[in-house]
Amino acid sequence: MLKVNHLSKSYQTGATVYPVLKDISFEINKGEFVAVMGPSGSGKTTLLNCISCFIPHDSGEILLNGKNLSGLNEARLAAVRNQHMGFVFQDFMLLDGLSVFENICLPQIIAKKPVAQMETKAKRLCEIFGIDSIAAKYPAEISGGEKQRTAVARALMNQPYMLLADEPTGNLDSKSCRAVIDAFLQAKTEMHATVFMVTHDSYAASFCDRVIVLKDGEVNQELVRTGNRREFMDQLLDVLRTLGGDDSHDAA
Amino acid sequence: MTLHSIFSKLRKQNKGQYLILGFCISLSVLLITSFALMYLGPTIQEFLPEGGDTRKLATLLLGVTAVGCTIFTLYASSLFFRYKSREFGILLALGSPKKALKPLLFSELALVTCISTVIGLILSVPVSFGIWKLFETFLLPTEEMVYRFGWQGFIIGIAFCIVLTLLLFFAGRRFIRRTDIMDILRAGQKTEMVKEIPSWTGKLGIILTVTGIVLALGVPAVAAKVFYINIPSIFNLVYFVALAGIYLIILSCVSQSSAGKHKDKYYKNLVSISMMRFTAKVTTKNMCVIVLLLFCCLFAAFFGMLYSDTEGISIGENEKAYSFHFPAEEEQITKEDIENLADDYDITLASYTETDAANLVISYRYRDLIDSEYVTLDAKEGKLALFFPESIYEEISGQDISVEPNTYKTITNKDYKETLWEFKDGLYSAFNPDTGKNLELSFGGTVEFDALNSMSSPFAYVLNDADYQAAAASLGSQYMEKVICFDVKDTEHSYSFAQALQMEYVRHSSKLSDFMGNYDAWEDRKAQENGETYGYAGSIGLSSDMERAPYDWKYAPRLTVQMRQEHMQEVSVYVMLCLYIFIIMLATITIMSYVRSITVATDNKTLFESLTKLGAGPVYNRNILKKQLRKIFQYPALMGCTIAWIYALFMSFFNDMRVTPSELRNLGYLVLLIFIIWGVLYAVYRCALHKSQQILGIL
Repeated sequence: MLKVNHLSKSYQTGATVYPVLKDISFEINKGEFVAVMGPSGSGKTTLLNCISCFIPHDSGEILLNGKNLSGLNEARLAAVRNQHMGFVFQDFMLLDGLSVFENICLPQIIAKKPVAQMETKAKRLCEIFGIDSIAAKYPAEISGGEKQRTAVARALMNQPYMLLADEPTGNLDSKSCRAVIDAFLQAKTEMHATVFMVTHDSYAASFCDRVIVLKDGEVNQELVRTGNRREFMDQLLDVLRTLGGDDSHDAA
Repeated sequence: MTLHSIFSKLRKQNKGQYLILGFCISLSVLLITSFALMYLGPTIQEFLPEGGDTRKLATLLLGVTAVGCTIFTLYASSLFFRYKSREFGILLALGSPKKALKPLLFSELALVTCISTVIGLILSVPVSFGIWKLFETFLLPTEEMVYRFGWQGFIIGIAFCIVLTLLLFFAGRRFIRRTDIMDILRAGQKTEMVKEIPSWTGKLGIILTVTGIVLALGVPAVAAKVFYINIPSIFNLVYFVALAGIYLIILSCVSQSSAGKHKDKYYKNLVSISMMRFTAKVTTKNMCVIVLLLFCCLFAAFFGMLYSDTEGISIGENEKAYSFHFPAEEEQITKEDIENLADDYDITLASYTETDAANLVISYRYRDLIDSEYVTLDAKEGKLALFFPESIYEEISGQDISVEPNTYKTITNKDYKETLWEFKDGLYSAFNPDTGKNLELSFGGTVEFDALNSMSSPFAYVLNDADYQAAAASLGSQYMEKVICFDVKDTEHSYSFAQALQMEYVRHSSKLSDFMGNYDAWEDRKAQENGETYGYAGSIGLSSDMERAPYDWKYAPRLTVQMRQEHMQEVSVYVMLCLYIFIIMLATITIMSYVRSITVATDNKTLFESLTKLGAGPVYNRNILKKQLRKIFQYPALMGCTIAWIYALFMSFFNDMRVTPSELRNLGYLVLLIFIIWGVLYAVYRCALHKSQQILGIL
């Protein structure tokens, strides 16, 4: 589904060049729920921004469903973001002037899809994620967890190849956090969605099938979940501890 | 549902943002168009002399107004685009191409701009009429100064609308180009690189500011008055020193980076200081613009005050309210004509005198600007000047004077102060052009009498009776002038009579009187003898169907009541124009400060959330916000007003190396005005604080 080959990215301040991603390669299969973890400054968010094509990378290639995203012009990139990628941000990024239902409809409005089909789809997503009762409400009137579930529903509106999430539980309490993870799991099981999530939250990551651990801009190791979630979380915490620490989550 | 309908819904939900932008556009169009309607209206255009300095200055003021209006509208649009950037960022992240968003933004901008400019243009007519009526009540006292609508002002308004629309579209285009998803994702985490600034920055700033102002105003004045050197206008670049100083002072206030001796105070205000320090560049720039606008605002007001100083024209005791002089050969208006006219207007004449005065060729010293230096020159038998015998002077003026033989007294106006160009004691001999008799003279002092002083250039003079008889004996009639002076019983109410008299005087004037103000028959004769062209020769087109006597006329009558009326009208026009600039600048300042305050609140939302997470209560957060916003208003208000006041003081002083009582009074009014501005800014600060607290949820 997603193939990242020898991806490198650096930032420059004055004469000093700071390499952030160093020759990163990995692959994500269809229907997989993958998290990227790592200490602060390891390059997690930069990796996500490169894959999302929000920022250009220096070298390497990103293949989404076999299509190379490097070198696409602005219009094509916009089409890829709209049709083949779904985004979930830490601070939800909902438009305050639109209701929950209208926010969910946005990707299909942009794609100029027929209204009847769009509304049916949006209603179904509202039901799946348990937000049909608040569909007419505005973002200011709903909780953080509800906002994030709305954001997940919106991201799935165009049935993208991939769901890209940047710290989706970062702004939430443990109850809302669980609701969002459930939303991702639902998307995976009921809609066969592929989810790629950047997180520092070991609890959220413990629900994933696989976790890619970054350190100093390189893939340090990949952990595949084989046992139950609790064991996987302990395994993650151990790895992070040895790496020099990331935040842990004791909610489990 | 389409993107169009989504935009329409977002517009409805966020109508406040559109209203603010629309209000600013309307206000700006309203101000500039109503200003242009007044200034370019037939009444003021007919009133202001063609090609004069007054007109140039008024046009400059119109330009300054347009710049002020443009700045505040563009600043208001930046708030609008700021709000739009989140919407656009989300839509871009969801896959909407910029190309699709561009026409939507432009159609929204077109809608807002179109409605707002039309509202502004329509309202400008009643507003300019209302303001005119208001000024009429206090300042414009005559029937001639009635409001008349002129299309020229409206065309300027429309042209301004077009320019403003283009600039807003340009800003919109720039916004679309610069909108980046990453900006939205990083919103709230953006900070600037902060460089440590040396502790002496503020002190250096103060020194540079004061030095810049003193040099810019003082050096040209001192050089001209003490060293007689003209400083070229390029020297005005020294104002940039003051500008640099202002920048450094603000920078040092904004970027305060160390605790210094007052550690308690520093730590108490740490959050507030750091908030400002991390947006130092943009805050400094913003404050500098506000300081300059405040300066312009107060300077416009001070300029208006200078103009409103009407002490120049007064009718003092023993001054003749009506005086005129004309060639003796001219068949001018007679005493009988004047009395008949006075009867028609129910006016009683008083102390009428009619006399002759002689034009003699004078040798005198004067000063001129040659190669950037003020040089004293000797004009031997240079030009004609008017001479009165002592007894006649006493009769006209009612003054008791004594002129010694072989001396002269120079007639000056009241409270005369010598200028660079002329010397009151410059005359040293007078010569009869017909007999060739030369009279060596020495300076015997001055006498003050407004009615006669302007009849001759550089001055009119008084001679001892015997000297006058000797010098003017056998002088041809072409060198003689008739001088008529009189008063009326109720000068204040003799305006209509003065107008009628003036027209009667113009009707009686023939080719003999048809000369420019600076014309001199002796200079003309000399030029002809030398085969040169004389610049002041030629007719001024004097004719009986003129509506008023020409301004630049050698024999223009001096009718005090009319002069005062015209002076008052000129003052009114100027005060009105200056007040307009003042209002526009103040509007710009309040909008910029308000917008900056709101930006501080929106930019620091995350910071306040973090503070709350760290245990800060609403009171603490409110205090932090208050301190922050207070600085946005306080720093520029203090600096702008102080600099403007110091500038006004120096300007008054360097004008004639003294501060006159009327200038002191104006400086006092300026202080009052500063307090009023502070009051207005305080009200805006309270509004901005309330809105910012609402945004941050700490109300």
